[in-house]
Amino acid sequence: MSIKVQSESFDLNHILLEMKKDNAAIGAAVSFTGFVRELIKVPQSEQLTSLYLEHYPGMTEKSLFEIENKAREKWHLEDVFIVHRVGELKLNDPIVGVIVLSAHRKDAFDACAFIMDYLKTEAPFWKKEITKENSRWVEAKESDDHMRLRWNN
Amino acid sequence: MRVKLLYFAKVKELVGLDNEIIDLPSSVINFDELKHYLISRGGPWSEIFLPQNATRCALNQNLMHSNFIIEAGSEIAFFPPITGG
Repeated sequence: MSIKVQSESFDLNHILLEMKKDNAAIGAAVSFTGFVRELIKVPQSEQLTSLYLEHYPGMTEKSLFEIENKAREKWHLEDVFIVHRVGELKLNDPIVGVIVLSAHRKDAFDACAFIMDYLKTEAPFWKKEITKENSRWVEAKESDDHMRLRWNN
Repeated sequence: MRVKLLYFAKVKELVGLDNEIIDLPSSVINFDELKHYLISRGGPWSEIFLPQNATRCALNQNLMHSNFIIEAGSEIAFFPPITGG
């Protein structure tokens, strides 16, 4: 198990193969990567040039560990990896990565979605969109809260 | 009682500080009182608690959802709703 908060980029495919290696208990691997994407329905002059990621050092790592532990209580998981970048990111850069390894696919699929839904609402990261002319903090989305709440049922 | 306050993201920009160590008056022993004490400082501190800013609070790196007792040496953070991932 591993949690990383870093400014450098990452390659989930490489990490996934390293985690799988000779562990014959693993029958399923699910990975998710979130990327910096362009803004929709904005004029070119207001298009994103970069994204700035701020976080709360210490609490960030703690909350990611807690999210991973919650997932491990709900599903049978062999291994989990969570990476989140901070600092200045460019368009197309990966921001966040999650890998979940388990014996069966359902555990891996569900745990990966669960981890992302909790990460988006409980891990203290904040995004600032930087365009050619100005910058603004991203507003939290109510839909993200709904995505997390679906796991309470 | 001495506590450390931390500010992040938009809240940090409003306040103009990323952290401060303050000595609270003896009347301030819980979060609601701290909030009123900070609002009484005026300026940006009253602004961060406007409902539209939906400022969140963490006590010793735990997200808080209701009033809590403050102890000396606590680390209390204020920040906007989370937008990572």
